[in-house]
Formats: sequence, C-alpha cells, structure tokens
Amino acid sequence: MHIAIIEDDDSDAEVLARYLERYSREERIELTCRRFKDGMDFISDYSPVYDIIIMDIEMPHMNGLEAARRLRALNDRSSLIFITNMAQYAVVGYEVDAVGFAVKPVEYFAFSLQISRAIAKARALEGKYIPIITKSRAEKIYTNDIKYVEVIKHKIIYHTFNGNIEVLGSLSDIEAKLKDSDFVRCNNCYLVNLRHVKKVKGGSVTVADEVLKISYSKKQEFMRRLAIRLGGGFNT
Amino acid sequence: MRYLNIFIEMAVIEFLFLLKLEKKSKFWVRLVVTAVVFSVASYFAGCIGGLGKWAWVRSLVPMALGIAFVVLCYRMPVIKAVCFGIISYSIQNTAYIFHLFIMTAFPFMPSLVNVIIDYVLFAGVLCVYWFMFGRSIRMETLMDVKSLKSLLVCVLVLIASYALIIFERELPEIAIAIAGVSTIICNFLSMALLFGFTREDALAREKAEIERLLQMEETIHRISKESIDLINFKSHDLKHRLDLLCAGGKFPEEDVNEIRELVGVYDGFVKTGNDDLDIVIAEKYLRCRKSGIILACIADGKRLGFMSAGDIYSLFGNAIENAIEYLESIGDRSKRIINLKIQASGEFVSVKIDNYCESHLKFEDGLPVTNKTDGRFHGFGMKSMNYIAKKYNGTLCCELKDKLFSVYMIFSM
Repeated sequence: MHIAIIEDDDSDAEVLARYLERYSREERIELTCRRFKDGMDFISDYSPVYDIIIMDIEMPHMNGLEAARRLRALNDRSSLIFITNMAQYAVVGYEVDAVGFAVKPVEYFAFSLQISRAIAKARALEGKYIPIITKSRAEKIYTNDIKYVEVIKHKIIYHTFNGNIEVLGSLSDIEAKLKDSDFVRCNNCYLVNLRHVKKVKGGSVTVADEVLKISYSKKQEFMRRLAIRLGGGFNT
Repeated sequence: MRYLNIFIEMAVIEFLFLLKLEKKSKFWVRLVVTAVVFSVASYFAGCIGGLGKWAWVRSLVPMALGIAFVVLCYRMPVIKAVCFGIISYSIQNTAYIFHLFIMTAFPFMPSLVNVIIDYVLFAGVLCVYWFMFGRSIRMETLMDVKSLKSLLVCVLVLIASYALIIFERELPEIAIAIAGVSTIICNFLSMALLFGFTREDALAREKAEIERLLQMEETIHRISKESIDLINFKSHDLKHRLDLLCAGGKFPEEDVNEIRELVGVYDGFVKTGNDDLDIVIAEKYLRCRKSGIILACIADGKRLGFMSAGDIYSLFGNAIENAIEYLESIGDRSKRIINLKIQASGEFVSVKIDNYCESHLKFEDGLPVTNKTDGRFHGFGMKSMNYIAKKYNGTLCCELKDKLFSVYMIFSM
C-alpha cells in the first residue's frame, strides 16, 4: 500500500510515520509512505499512485479540506483520512468521501482504526481478476466489470459492461471464486455485484442499467449486506 | 351460490385489510385472474352433489381458494398469508352465523330479501372489524409477531368455526344458537388476541421511546443551562489566565495546554446540517467527555430530513448511548472511541456507528441480544432502533468483527 502524508508540522508527521511503521509491523502489511509538507505541493505534483492519503486539515497555505476537494476533482479515488485539531472541522468529511479522521494529539489506537478502514476500502476498490474457461479459451474477468452473474442450471452467464460471457459451471463454482467479495444473491438465479447497485424499490433492484427481481426471502439479507458495504464495512 | 359468496367475501376482506402491504408484481392482473378463476371454481364446488353427510367438505374449497388468493397476490411469507386467509375466513364466517340466526328465526323469507340481508350483515360485520382492527394498528405490525404463534391461534379458530359448519344441518335449533354465539365470540376474541400481541409490543416500544424523549427534553434544557454556566465559568478562568500570561512575559507549557483544554470544550458542538441531530450529538458529546470517550462524527445531517425529530433523538440517542455504556466499562482509555458516519451513497443514505468491543455477543435475528440481567426491559434500545429504521423502510443490522461493534443502517432516498 502506498501512503501519502500531507502535514506541515514536522513532529506531527514524525509521529504519524512512526505509527505507520508500527502498524505495518504488527499487522504484517507492507506500507510505503511519502511525506509532503503542503497541500499545494502534493497537488501540483499529483500522480494517482497513492492508495491512502493522510491529510492535515489545518495547514498554512491550503486548508486540508480544500486540498481534498481539488484531489477529488482530479478523479482521485484514494482512501482519505483527516488529521485535525478540532473534531468540528472534520464533520463535513463526507463531502470528499473521507474514511474517517483522528484528533490531535493522535493516539495510536484511534489512528490504527482509521488505517484499517482505509486499507479495507482501498482493497475493496481494487477488485480482482477471476479466471474462467469459455467454450473457446481461458479468460480472466475483472470483478469490478461484472454487473451480475446469472445462473441457469449448469450455465453461468457473467453480465459485464463489455457484454455477456457464458460458461459452463455450477453455483458452488462461482461462490468459491467470488468468495469474500461484494456479490450477493438477490434470488435463486442472480448474484448481484453490490458495487453497481443503484436503487432498490419494492421487489426490484437496479443494477447499473438493468432491473432485476429480488425474492422476498432473500431481500433482508441482501439489504443487510448492502447496508454493511455502503457503511464502509467492506469484506476483505 | 353460498360457496361463491364465501370466496368473494373473503377476497373483499383481504383486499381491504391488506391494502397497505407489499403486493406481488403485476398485482392487478393477478387479482383479476385469481378472482375470476377462483370465483368460478367456488361456484362449481357448490354444485357438487351427492355427498350427503360430507357436504360440508365442499366449503373447504372456497376457503382454501381465499387463502390461495393472498399467497398468490401479496408478497409475504406463506405462513403469514395463511394466517391472513384464515382471519378473513373467520370474519366472513361471523357474518354468515348472524345470517344463519336470521334464517332460522324467519325461515320463510323470499330469496331476494335473503340475499340483501346477507350483504348487509357482511358489510356490518366488516365495518365493525375494520374499525376495531383494520385501522388503528397497521397490518404490517402483525407481520412482526412470531408467525407460529399466530398460526396456532388461527388454526384453533378454524376448528371452532368448522365444528358448527359440519353439524349445522343435524343440530336442533337451540344447539345451533349456542354454537353460533360461541363461534362468533371465539372469532372475535382470536382477532383481539392476535392484535393484542402486536399492541403489547408496540405499546412497550412506545413507552420506551416516550421515556427517552422526556429524558431528552429534560437534558436539552439542562444542556443550555449547563453550557451557559460552563462558558461563563470558563471564560472567567480564561481571562484570568491570559492576564497571567501577559504579566509573566513567558509562555509556560502547562498554561498553553490548559487553554487548549478550555477551547476544546466547544469542540463537540458540531453542525451537521440537521438541528435535531446536532442536539443529540451535543448532549452525547458532553456525556462522552466526562467519561473520556471520543465521539468522532462525519455526518451529512441534511440527508436525514425525512426523519422526525423524535425518531432522530431516539435512533441516534440509543445507538450512541449503547456505545457509551459499553465503553465506560473498558479500562484502556485509548480504546474509548465512537465513530459516527452519515453520508449519501447514490440513492441511499448510509449510517454507521461503531465502537471498540472486546466482548462476545449473541445475535438473534441479526440483532445482538442484551447482556443486561433484566432482559425484559432492556434490549428495547435495539428493538426501538430497528422499529424506527423499518418505519422509514430502512434496514438496520449489526456486526461484530475484529473487536469492532458496528451498527449499519440504510435508507432509500
């Protein structure tokens, strides 16, 4: 995971770097981090290589929230964590889709909670490739491209943004491949990618541009998984 | 003809009572098709002759079709559908018994008058039941009652009704009168019982909510007073300390920190864009501060405009209070953090409240079971939250993962 720390105060930045080191050690996750003294520096030098950005809100030249807004305008999708003196300032963090924030002086536990969240979100965003074997050849599909999976007896149809792909296989096959990800059954034949759920009304769910039926018995579990995903409790 | 009546009356009752419930797709098509088909079937069931003593079996047909009507047209678990079907049959049966009394008392009435009386009685009984049970408690809450309990009551009612029907022709008038009266009483009481179950639950919830609201109101008045007192006291203190700083010429570390501490008091009064939410957070913030708990909020309060003030106080008050009570028992102060997140995500509003939790929790129906000893009165916090979420067609669920207890909610915008 690549992390950027944007913090004008040296000692504060030092603390964060130490915490990241400790987190990396304790959770056995490789983290590289780079420090920027200022929001302006970061944005002018911007490249979308960072998974997580830790941003101080109170900075001399550019306020952290403003910097975050500009970042999002550049289509940046990294997980954002704010560091602030006053909790009040971070309330509007939703405007820039922040994962969370920590109040100075930052304590390790509070910080580690946010990092865990940020990592889970970054990983969820990534998606993964699953191997499939069609009639003609072996292929890989990127899970983020799948809108939903349809199962009819022994046929599996992957409905993706680039068209439908048909393979032979069983339900247990898919469930093994798509384990630990955002796919949930909405009824007996469809496995929906929660990522692309736009709307749920009555007995139907809108996935990307298509409308599918949710069976009464599956609806409650479906909504629960959706609630968890939207709330940031990604499956990792 | 009578069997056709049974089905039609059942269908009318079901349609009226289930008006607000979730219907299956192509509802009107289903309605019309099943109504027509089942009506015809019921009529022909009545035409089957030569059964002698077993003639009453024919009446099972329209009754079963009346139940099937609910199963086919409405979205609900089959057991609930069967319960509703039996309920509507018992209402219809009550009207029929009244009719039976009248027919027995005046056996020589022309058939037209008979028919009119039949419909008048039906309308009358329906009105009575409607005003007693159809309106005051939404039928939806009946769905929450454990279905097997309801089914048992319904089946008992059915048996009672059928006892009269089976022996109708053979009994002397006086026996019919007695059996009829007791069947009517049985029907009525069973309805009262079924709705009594839900009323009890609903009342208990309301009571808990009202108590919480009263507590909230009291607290709000107290906060204003407390805040003002606090501000007055602290600003006096602040002025004094600034004087010292100026006089000394130097800036001792402790004084600067203490001033930061004083400033920090105002920190918790956030502006989320929703006044009611702001009040809940302010009240809980002070409570948290006393216990050394951090309440960290990222909240797009404007998105909660659809919720009433009382529901916001109750929902978020409960959730945060549960977290506070738990965290107060945790020795390690660095772990005393509550995170609250409210944001829009596409067409949904998502809410998450979490706190560190090292206990094991038992879950029942997706919600944690209270670990307080007085199980009857506590645990209502969670049920109340679930009730409010459902009220707005939202979903609430909880998760305990990696020592973090989270409450998730979503609502469609």
